[in-house]
Amino acid sequence: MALRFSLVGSGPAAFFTAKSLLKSIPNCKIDIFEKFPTPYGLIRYGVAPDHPEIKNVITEFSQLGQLEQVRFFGNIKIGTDITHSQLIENYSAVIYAHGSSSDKALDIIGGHLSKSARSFVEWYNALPGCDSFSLKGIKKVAIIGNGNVAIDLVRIMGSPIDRLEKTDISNIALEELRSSQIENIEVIGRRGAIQSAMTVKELRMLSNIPGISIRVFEDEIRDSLNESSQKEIDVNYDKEHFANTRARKRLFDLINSFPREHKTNSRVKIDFRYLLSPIRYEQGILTLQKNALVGNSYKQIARPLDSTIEIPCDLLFRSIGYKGIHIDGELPYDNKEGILINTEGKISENTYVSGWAKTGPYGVIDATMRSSFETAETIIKDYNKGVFTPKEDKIHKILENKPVVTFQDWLKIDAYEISQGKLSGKPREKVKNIEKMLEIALNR
Amino acid sequence: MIRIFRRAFSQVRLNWITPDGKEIATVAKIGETLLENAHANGIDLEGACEGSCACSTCHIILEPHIYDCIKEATADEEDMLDLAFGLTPTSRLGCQIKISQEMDNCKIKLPSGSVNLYVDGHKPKPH
Ligand SMILES: Cc1cc2nc3c(=O)[nH]c(=O)nc-3n(C[C@H](O)[C@H](O)[C@H](O)COP(=O)(O)OP(=O)(O)OC[C@H]3O[C@@H](n4cnc5c(N)ncnc54)[C@H](O)[C@@H]3O)c2cc1C
Ligand code: FES
Repeated sequence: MALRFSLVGSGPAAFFTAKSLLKSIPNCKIDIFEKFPTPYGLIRYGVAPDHPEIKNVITEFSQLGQLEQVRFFGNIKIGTDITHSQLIENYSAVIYAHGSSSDKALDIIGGHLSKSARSFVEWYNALPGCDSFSLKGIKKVAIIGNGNVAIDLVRIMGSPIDRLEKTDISNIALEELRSSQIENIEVIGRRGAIQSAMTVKELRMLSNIPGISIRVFEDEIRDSLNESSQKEIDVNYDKEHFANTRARKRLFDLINSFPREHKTNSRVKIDFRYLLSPIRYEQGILTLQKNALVGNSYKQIARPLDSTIEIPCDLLFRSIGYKGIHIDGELPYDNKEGILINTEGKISENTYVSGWAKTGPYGVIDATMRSSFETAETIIKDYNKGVFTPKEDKIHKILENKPVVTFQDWLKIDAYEISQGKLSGKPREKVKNIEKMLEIALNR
Repeated sequence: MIRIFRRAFSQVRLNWITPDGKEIATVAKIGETLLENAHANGIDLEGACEGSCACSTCHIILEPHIYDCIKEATADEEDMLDLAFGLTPTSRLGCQIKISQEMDNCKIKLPSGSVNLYVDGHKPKPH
């Protein structure tokens, strides 16, 4: 008998939480359940292929996965293969770290014709069962939303092919992008330039891609700079908001440094548009309503004006946010935020939550890490109060008929992918379907 | 004799301050990064991207006089600092700072990690 913790999901939140628990609770056992045969969540299926540095975090996660105290149960979906009550019965505590598995719909006329940015990301990252994309005949693309996921899309569609060939991008996506005829990408923000949702690092990286041209519109920049917005970039205005103001100012300075006209001879022309909301998408025409900003600094909203503009658009993406799903009816769920209701990571007795399932789909890995450490601290406090009871190892009984991928099995898939990648000079070629993964993994 | 002299000079002492105020002294080689020194000495400083200036998990806070005298951050580092949790005017990334002689006996603060993320009512941007 030992203190046994189960983690649901195997993204960064799960591994950072596990790391903290292992450090503070001697001899505890940790079981990680993952619906895919492969670990690492959005590090594998979200982070763009041309961002290998951020994937370095896998080195540490892999070391954790190979510890004796830690077991990986890949190909096991919680809510379906195992329920919450079964977890509670078998574990001293359960920690949900299942991220945000869905995305928001675009609620406009013709919105159903838009594609989700998430599905495009999954396609170039070779998620099993993802939608497929054809770029044939596509010249003009528009993206609603200007967060980092939108920037990832622009970078992948705007990159010269030799920039992508050396990454772990799916070979299917690579071939489709090789013959891409995309000429224009419009990135559309509801609010002004100062409220842009991307981070300056991602935008700067995009601006350095060879062969592209970025433009902004003078009137939109001018209308962005109302009084409240100017305060949002004035580092002396409100010391409380120092970090936020600094970040916004540096981002705005970069946006404002882009020319108002496109470079001639550029392969892909990118427009960052502001103060526009989509209202209709019909017959290849996207209709946008102009907006004005109203309200106090940091709380401004976009108010629709009377005028509209139309832009031609062969492919419309919505990049307006990921969204959580309710994975087990027994858990208290906030449908609006898409999160499990919690206080500092605690849901109820012996039940906790970490990462995007806790905070909603916001922030980079640093934020996910800190929120996971907060949850771990909450658990450790409860551990120190002595609330957890040791449990016997009986989980295999529930899983009798289900093929489970262990961490050692995953390492076989990992080695296979790396060797397949070598054949075409890539760091990895991901296996694209579950059956094939299981065949490699379970061929014991 | 000269070699011993040199070695003594190629090392400095650092005082790491943990979020709960504990002080941990380490000996550091000149030229290694703060992140390397932290890891070699079991200091709780993360380095998720392994020092490639892509994650900001190695965020540390310097004393103003040290911040002012060491080499300035590059634009790349500044871009990552924009995302660092609990940024202060003397924040830097531990993986980007090479330890130098001026840093002898300085204090390096680890930001208080997991306090409420949305403390100023601002939600981090959707990703
Ligand atoms: C497109 C995109 C690009 C990004 N790029 C970057 C970047 O460049 N740099 C950066 O710092 N951050 C980036 N991020 C943010 C980063 O990915 C997140 O901060 C982080 O992955 C959130 O971690 P998580 O563990 O909460 O969720 P996830 O990473 O989503 O992990 C959740 C895991 O739970 C599993 N799961 C879900 N439901 C179940 C179930 N019912 N049973 C079992 N398992 C389940 C999922 O399969 C998944 O493996 C990006 C995010 C996205 C969406
Ligand atoms: S370790 Fe990632 S930025 Fe320093």
